Amino acid sequence: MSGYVGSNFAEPRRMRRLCARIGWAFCLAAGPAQALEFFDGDVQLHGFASQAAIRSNHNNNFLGPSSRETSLRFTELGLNVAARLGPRLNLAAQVVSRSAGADAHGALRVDFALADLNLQDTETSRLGLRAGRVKIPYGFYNSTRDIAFTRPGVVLPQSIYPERVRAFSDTLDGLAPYARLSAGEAELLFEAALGKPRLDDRETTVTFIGNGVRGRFEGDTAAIGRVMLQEQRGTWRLAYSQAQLRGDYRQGERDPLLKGRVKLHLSLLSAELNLEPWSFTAEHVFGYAGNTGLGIFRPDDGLPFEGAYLQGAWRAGPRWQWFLRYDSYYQDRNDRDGTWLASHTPLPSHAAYARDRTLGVRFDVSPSFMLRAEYHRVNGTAWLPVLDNADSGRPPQRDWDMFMLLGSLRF
Amino acid sequence: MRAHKLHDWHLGHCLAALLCAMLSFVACAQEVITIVAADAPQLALSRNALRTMFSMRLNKWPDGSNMTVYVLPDNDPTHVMFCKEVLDVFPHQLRQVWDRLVFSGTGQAPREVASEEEMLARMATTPGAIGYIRRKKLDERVRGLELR
Repeated sequence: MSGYVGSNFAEPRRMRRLCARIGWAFCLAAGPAQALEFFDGDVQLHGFASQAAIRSNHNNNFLGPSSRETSLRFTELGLNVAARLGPRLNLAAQVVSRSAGADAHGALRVDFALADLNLQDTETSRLGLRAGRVKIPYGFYNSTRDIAFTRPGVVLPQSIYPERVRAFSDTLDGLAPYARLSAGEAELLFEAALGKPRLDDRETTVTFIGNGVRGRFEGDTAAIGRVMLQEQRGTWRLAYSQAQLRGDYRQGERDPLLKGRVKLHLSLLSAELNLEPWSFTAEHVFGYAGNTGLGIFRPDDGLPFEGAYLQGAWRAGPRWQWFLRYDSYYQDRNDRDGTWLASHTPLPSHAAYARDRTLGVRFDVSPSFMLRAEYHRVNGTAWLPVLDNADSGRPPQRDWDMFMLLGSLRF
Repeated sequence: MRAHKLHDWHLGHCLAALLCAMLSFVACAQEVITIVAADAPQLALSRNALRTMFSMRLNKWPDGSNMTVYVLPDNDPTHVMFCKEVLDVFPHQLRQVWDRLVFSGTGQAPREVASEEEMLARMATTPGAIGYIRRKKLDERVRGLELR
């Protein structure tokens, strides 16, 4: 994906349009929410297609040039197949084409491709191991972050699931053990993932190193674990996720930086309460992002960041759902108001934080098609993608607004 | 006088209709039953076990054979009734659970059938199948499972 940025734009655009057409046509042809089934249902084919329209103000671009025009550069298409090969073995794979502002241009990629070996499966316990390319089980939403139907908004809360460093938390190639213990109405679920993270997108590199960087990251190791305790009927669930991810910096041509390393540590607490028609969700992350060994032009550095959101949703009927969310993010919890940042770097103080108040509505046109509309009032620019705002020549402002629409199909 | 009679007549009809509606609601509450194939082994399931099965977090029968879960479409009245009265969850909660499994590669969704007739046919022909149906649709191909 990184190769597309700043090089040949025509090819990926053509590909993106083609993918979009194929995806939409496929979904429309598939009709209702039903999956396609083969071999008596042992093989299932599912898919999704989402398109957003984003408009913002004050030079603050999010997923495309949204402050100058209505950005349509947020498209997600995916197709997945799951096969049951016997009582113990399942296979699953998903390909995704994702366009998201200046970073992702719709190239097809393998989102996951795994074999799932089930070692034990009874009423009270379950144990198994997945191997291959797996989604990173982090928080409530990370492992299905590209599927609009599973998200609590047009985009996920940026404090916990930022678009800026998504490569770090997306997928990894390795092993993923899982377990379930059930006792009465309580269930304890455990998932982990160990391996090499996919770490090749441009936005993540630029976020860590800065715009104009010549080299690229390569995933080194990642270890993620999540423990979830939930009431079986879904009345409440609690989760704790811990992640450690490392990447290597590979030098580009005439690169002033040396071969170095970046790392990201995260501890995330998640809680959800469902009291129909009300539901409340909160997640709180403490993390550390740092780099070492890049040489004198990028001295060793690290920031302890913090983010949290609280969302309250109201199901107004079988088809309507409204929500309010308060989402806050601080890239350095020792410099929440950005005073240090403004006095020691060329960046303004509001680049150190982002506080986002969101009002949103979801309307289910049918079980397989939904629409969303959202208004964001944001104070601060900490999670604005660097690449979307790199070429405008005018710096993003502290207080800004964003309006988003989204249509999504799935089968 | 005539008008008064007419009024009484209407009132009587309304009350009767209301009573019918209430009775049918009570009947509905017990109307949906979990089913397996007629030749499936005898088994008493707890509500918790059934919920785990329809959440697709348990995919095997106690003897180790494959379990295949069948459901009706999300907005089918029998499905809605089954979710509320038998599983005690909302249909949209189940759909969320299935979506999370399918789109993260960690599981499959249940197989969807278009009608109760198709449900009956699939129960009879798929080994290890489990589904649900309105009690009045029960026939010799399937067996109702009472919860313990």
